[in-house]
Amino acid sequence: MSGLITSGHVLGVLIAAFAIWLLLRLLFRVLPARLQTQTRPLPVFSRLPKELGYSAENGTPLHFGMGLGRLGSERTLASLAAMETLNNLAAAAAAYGTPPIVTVGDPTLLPVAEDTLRWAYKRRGTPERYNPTLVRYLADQPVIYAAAAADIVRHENVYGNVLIGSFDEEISLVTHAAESNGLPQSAACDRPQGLSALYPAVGHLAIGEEMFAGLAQLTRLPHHLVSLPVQDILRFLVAVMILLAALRIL
Amino acid sequence: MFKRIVPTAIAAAVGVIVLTGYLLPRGLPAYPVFAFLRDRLIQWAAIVAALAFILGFFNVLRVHLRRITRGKSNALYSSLLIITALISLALTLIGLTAPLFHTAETATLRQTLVTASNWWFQYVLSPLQASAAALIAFTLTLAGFRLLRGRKTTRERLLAVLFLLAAVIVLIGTLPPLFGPVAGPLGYLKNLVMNVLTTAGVRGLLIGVALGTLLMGLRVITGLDRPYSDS
Repeated sequence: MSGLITSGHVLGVLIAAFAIWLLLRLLFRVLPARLQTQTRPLPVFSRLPKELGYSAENGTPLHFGMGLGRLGSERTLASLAAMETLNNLAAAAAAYGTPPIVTVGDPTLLPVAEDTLRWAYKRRGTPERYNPTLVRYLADQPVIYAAAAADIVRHENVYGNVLIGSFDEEISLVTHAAESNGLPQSAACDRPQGLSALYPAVGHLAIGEEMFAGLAQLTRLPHHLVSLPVQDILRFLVAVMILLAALRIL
Repeated sequence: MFKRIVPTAIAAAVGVIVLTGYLLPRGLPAYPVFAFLRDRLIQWAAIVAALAFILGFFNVLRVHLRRITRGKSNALYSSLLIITALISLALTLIGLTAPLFHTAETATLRQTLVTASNWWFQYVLSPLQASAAALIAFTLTLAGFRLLRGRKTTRERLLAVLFLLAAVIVLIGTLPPLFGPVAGPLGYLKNLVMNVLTTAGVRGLLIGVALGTLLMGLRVITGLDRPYSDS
């Protein structure tokens, strides 16, 4: 820990976050629905089920890129957010019969992504229809991942390009391939380098924490929806502390 | 129920132990225990992650062998990929295990194979990766040119113009001072964009991401989110 921030500070933040979350969760149980969390539309996530349906009508799969986040690194939770998104689409994907081609840039994501799709087929009662090559580990080097994903987008007759997770500027190789084929694109990314490459290229983009908010919008689960006002409260507190520090009060 | 509870309990317990191992003050009597458990669990995670690379390798082989056996259009490239993957694997294994076979008779062969392994990385894999990376500058530039095309509303176009303006200012401001009297103001603008506007924006973005990550981490540790389980 650095000299300014100690483990006590971190523990305090964690406890405060959890306490606020718990309080709001209990409060939302008694509040009427119209006073609970309302999310503004995030097309990246609200359109995903429709995009999956259109791809099924077209008979071609979506490309679902989960990026380079490795379980056990600073990108873990962005990857888990992408995994949760896939989890919510997996049931529909299994029902439609045109499941997405899922690409991962780290092998630690591979078994989790495979299990997500396999369980969806198992819950439907059609485990024999699960195709193990739907989930593909491409490369753990960002450039090689992007080049391989670009090849899939360009040559495997996909309906659209969806990129959710942690990406760097190399992702422009993938978006360029999709744009060349005239494919609709949407993306959610938590890193500034990836966002700067995605912003010019994709039609719908979720920036930073919108990835987590979009997940709440997709799942509509209470513990996801309660997390959003908690983030707002904590952000407000952080902004106040920065202001006070800048004014040399703190 | 058993299949849901056990993974959740393991994930929650491991998460709490590792977190406690980092946050517990060093002076407390329990610190050595948690620090030991923390280090051990992280080592195990690293081993499992390393094993995942083997799964990844077999996944690559499976996907491309399927393409070859089904006679897909890119079967030739899949064949090349599998051959080069196996060559890379063989050379890497030889390069790593060569010191184990330290005998006078095999010294020359060993040296040759280690050299081949290094040559493969230095003159084949690295240049290929650099070539792919070189394309990024072009794809980013093309994306910049196409930026205004897809924007329909006035707000989107305005944001796109600001994006391009910032990119142009930073690019030109980074060039050597070729512009005479304009160089000073351009340099000032570039520093303003990079050091003030961009830094502020990125910090705000990262604070938001950190808070989202914090809440998601808490949900995973408390078992509310279970991306690893069948639910």
